[in-house]
Amino acid sequence: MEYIEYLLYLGYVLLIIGTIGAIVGPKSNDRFIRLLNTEVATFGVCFIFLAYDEALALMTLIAVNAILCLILVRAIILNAEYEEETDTKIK
Amino acid sequence: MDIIEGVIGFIALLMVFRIFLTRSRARKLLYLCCLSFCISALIALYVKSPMGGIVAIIYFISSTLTSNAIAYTIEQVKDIE
Amino acid sequence: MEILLIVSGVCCILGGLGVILHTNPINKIIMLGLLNVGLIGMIVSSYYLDIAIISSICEPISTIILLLGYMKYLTTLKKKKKYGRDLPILSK
Repeated sequence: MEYIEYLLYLGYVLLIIGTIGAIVGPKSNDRFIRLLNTEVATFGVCFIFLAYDEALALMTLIAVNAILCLILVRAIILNAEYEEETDTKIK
Repeated sequence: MDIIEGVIGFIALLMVFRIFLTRSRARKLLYLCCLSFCISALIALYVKSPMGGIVAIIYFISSTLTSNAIAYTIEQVKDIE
Repeated sequence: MEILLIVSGVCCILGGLGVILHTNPINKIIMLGLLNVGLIGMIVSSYYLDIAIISSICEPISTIILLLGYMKYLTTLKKKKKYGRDLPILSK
């Protein structure tokens, strides 16, 4: 198998595994675990960009992924605190 | 040159399977640290130019930072759990 | 085939399966580090050295953000489970 085909099939396998795992993975009711499963699909997209020689797109995706991670983690923590406030207020 | 790459690659493959198979959390971190050292050596041997040395140095520093962060968090989480 | 290519491919497949199959978030983050090792190996193996530098600088930032977020999330969950029953009784 050639190098480009090896890279492309690896990217497709990671993309399919990440997408299925984010939907019906084990213990995916927790929001943090679902966020971590979604990261696998991001790496699959990185491999497909690498196989098609899109260098600038790959660099931008890797740099933006760190910022996106910060925003999503912040949102999950705020949502957990908000649900705790609502539960104590209802009871 | 070929025999060095073979030995380091064998150690790296062994470490990958041991990360996947072991159950303990601290040992998993230790094998990850060893694997990143092996990959750093393979990068420096694969690229035949001074730019490969720079990439290997930067990757070595940042992988050590990652391992230290995970080790600190394992110590903190053990008290909470 | 080159030895770096084989090691990176095995890292990627086992890391992708490991992130999905483990259930503890710290084990998941360790497996995500394994997946990132495979990505940097593949990038170096196709001679994009500048992207390898950017990727290896951005990797610890993402990992540290995830770990700090997990510690705060776990503290919030434990506090909810610990005082969830007691506080309404006190407020009566």
